Formats: sequence, C-alpha cells, structure tokens
Amino acid sequence: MSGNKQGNATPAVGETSGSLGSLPLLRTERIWNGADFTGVNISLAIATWAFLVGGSTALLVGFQQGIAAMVIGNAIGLGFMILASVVASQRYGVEQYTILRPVFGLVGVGILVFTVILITEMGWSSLLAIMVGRAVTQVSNSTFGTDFGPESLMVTFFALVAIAVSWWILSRGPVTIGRFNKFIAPGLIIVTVFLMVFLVINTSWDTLLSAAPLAPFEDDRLNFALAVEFNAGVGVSWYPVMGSLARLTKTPRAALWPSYGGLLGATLIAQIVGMAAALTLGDSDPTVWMLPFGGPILGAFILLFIAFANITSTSSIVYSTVLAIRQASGNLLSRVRWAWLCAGFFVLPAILAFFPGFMYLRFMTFVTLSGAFLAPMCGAIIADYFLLRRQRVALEELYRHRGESAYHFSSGINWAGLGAVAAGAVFYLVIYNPVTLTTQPVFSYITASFPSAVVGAIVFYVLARVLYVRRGVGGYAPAEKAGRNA
Amino acid sequence: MDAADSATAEALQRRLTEISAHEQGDSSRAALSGRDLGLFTLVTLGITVLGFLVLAL
Repeated sequence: MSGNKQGNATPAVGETSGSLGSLPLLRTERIWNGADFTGVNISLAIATWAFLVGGSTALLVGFQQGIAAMVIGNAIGLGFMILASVVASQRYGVEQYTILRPVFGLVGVGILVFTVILITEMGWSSLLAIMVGRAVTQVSNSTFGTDFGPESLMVTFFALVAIAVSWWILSRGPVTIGRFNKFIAPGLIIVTVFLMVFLVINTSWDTLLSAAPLAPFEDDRLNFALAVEFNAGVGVSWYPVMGSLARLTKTPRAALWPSYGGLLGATLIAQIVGMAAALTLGDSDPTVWMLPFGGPILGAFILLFIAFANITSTSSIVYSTVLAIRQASGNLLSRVRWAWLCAGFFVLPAILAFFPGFMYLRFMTFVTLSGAFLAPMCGAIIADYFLLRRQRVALEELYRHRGESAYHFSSGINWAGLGAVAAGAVFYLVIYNPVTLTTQPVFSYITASFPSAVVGAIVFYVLARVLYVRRGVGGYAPAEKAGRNA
Repeated sequence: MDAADSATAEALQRRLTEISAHEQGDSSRAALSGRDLGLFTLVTLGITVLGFLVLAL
C-alpha cells in the first residue's frame, strides 16, 4: 500500500541529487524532523482504502469487535513492518530495496520485487481504479438517471480511464504527482470529518454498538480472528513504501515514532469511520455511502473527489514500485523509457479492471495473501539487521559489482532470506488459506501474520548461521570489525 | 558499482567519502538505541492489550 503523501514528498526529494536514486543520502539531504514525518504518515493513512478496509471489517464483526480488531491488527502489523522497513533505511539513508541486498542478495531482491511487491501493488492499483469506476457510475446514476450496476462495463470503462490518467500523471514525473497530491490529503481529511459529522447526526451510539456484521461466518471467534488478521495484513502492506520515505528523516527517533503513531492513529480514525458508515448503511463499499450521506449534489461532489484521490494514489503507488522494478532489474530495464515502464506496469491492473466484482469480492483475500509473503519478509529482515548484523551494514558493499560485493552470496541470492520467506508463507497458508478460507483451530487464537513473521525470523537466523555466518560469507563480520564499515 | 545502479561510481564514491569523513558520529546515522527499541516493543504490546480491553468492555 502506498499513499498520497508519497507524491507530496517527491518534489522536495527531487531537489536533491541523490534522493531520487539509490545513492545514500547525506545529512543535508535529510529534510524531515519528527513533526514533518508525522504529517507525511497521517496523509498516507488518510486515504480511500482506509474507508474500504473499515467497510470490509464490518462484513465480519460488529462495531465494538471491529474497533478491537483494528487496534490489535494494526498495532501488531505496523509494529513489525516498521522495524523491518524504516530503521535500516533511515540509518544509512539508503533506498529500501537497496538496503535489502544483505538480507536477500541482489538477485533475491529482484525476485521479491518482481513477485511479491509487484503483485501487491498491481492489486491495489486495480482496486483503486475499479473504485473510481464505481464512484463515477454512482454519480452518473444519480445525476443522469442511468442504471449502471457495480459490475457493469461502464465501471470497467471508467476504471480504464482512471488507469490512463494515472499513467499520464506518472509519466510526467514525481513533481506532477506532488502537485496533485497537495490537495488530496487535506481533502480526504475533510471527507473523513464529513462522514464523522454525518454519523454523529444520523446514528446513535447504541445503534452502532448493536449493529450486526454484514456478512459474518457462523463462528464468532473465527470472525474476530479473520478481522484481526485482515487488519494486520493492511498494516504490513505499508511495507513497500515506508523505508524509502524514512531515509529522508533526520534521526532514528524521527523515523520510528512518527511512522508508528502517524500511520496507526490516522488509519484507526479513517477505518473506524468507514466501519461505522458501513454498519449504518449496510454496505461495505465506500462509493455507496456518499449519496445517502451527502445528497445528490454534495454526495456527487465527494464521489468525484474520491475518484480523483484514487487516481493520484494509484500514481503514487506505481511511482515507488516502478522505481523499485527498475532498480531490481539490473541492465534489463535500465534503458526502457520511464513512460513505457509505467505503461507496462498497468497492463495487469487494466486486465483486472474487467473483473470489478471479483476484485471487490476478493479484496480481503488479496490483502491477506500479500501479507502471507510480506510478513515473513519482515521477519527475515528483522533477524538479519537486528540480531545478526547488530544494525551494521557496510555501505560500500551494497553497491559493489555482483561477485565483488560481500552481499553477493551464491549467484546473488541469500538463500536464508528466500528460504525464510518460503517457510513463513507456507506456515501462514497452512494455518490460514485466504483463498479457500480453510483455517487450523490455532488460527483463531494466534492469527497468521505475526506467527509467520516469527517463523521467517527463526528460519532466517538458523539458515544464515549455518550457510553464511560460520563460513564468513555475507559480511556477517564480528561487531568490532563491521563497525569500521558502518 | 553494480550495473543495476544508474548513478555513477564517481558520485557514489564522493558520497561515501563525505559520509566517512564528516558523518560517522552524526545523530542522523545513529543506530536505534536499545531503549527506543524496548520502548517501541512495549508501546506495541500496550496498544495490543488496549485492543483486547476494548473487546472485553
């Protein structure tokens, strides 16, 4: 998951020579203190997907259980995601997929970027585009009396238009994204406040507390565990962008606490508002709420604003991901023009736009499935950076040519890293399969993301010690020696 | 320098030299302290417990 402020950040980033690329930032290029970064993270979290997550949580649980699930899931998911993504990038001022090379190797990072990260971000992009399609058709139905359904071809048409506009914004570069996004984050805060005011006026606390979930399973404990897991997956899904933002902060504290507090606080507010709206109106789709809440004129205006917000959010997501793709591809894509690279990214989201019902229906599946791979990735990163390397990475080795680098491992792959991701993902899918919705009894007690992160960390630690540390491979030098490289 | 990096080797070397010469002890390059790490873990656990309290109330 990415967000609006990513784009806000980029113009400032672009003012310095190193920050758009992979080079380590210098002290003077780190522009954010704690307050700045808190604002960045709040703007990231206040986005339309937070309404969607809140609405989807209401499918499983009622208001009180939903708040608990959101607090627990986000607290845990964000907790280990931030340790994995923010800390190392901040310390070394290095783009987050470059700092991953000691954990997975240069080729290993490429494998993960072209699978886990790419698919995750393509999924979010297509979902946001379909949301645009639904928002615009809702406005059309309300204003012109048309009768376009939520899965009609017009939804696909407008989703494709959204993708085309996103591509246009993106192809013009990060400055354009930033210009658009300056209006989006404050606007979405206003929409959130509007929803809160409407809810306070039109519903009571008792009504909310007694509202039944929209489409629960029979087992209450399982519903709650699924809601926690879904929210943990949402917390983890911030991973693809956080490190590259945190490298711009001035101190470790200015990176750690604002990212946790900013994301958690703003996410919870927007999600809880979204859940309350869904329970009040009986529909989990945010594009359905605005017309009953705002009336035909204000509601249509908000819907169009949400549509535009989604387009710029998509541009922000794709910007960071395409940069990562280019970085991870070696020579393969380095000469492909930026606009063509972005166009290539949008092929799959455009195909998925032809299945709007499927994407909305499978939203929770997609989020939890991507969490099945991102969570053990985070576990492996934490084990490598905090336990084995004691927060010390040799900057120069990150950039050395393949075999010359201490982080080349075997054929550019740290097998401990990929083994940890595979083991953690298998563990996750065994105790909870988001596709078939089969669960082991233990899932209702421990959920899946955090345990699979722990599995990933343990497997990484053991494999790395056996394969590399004992043999002196991979730059796992004793602390005093590594300290000279830090 | 690895071929995956579009930046020049000279630019990288300049930065590494600058960092090595002037930023080694700088607060921007400090490791996360054990105190902050412990506090972060406690806060995460505390908020998680808060979530269970919401459930219990």
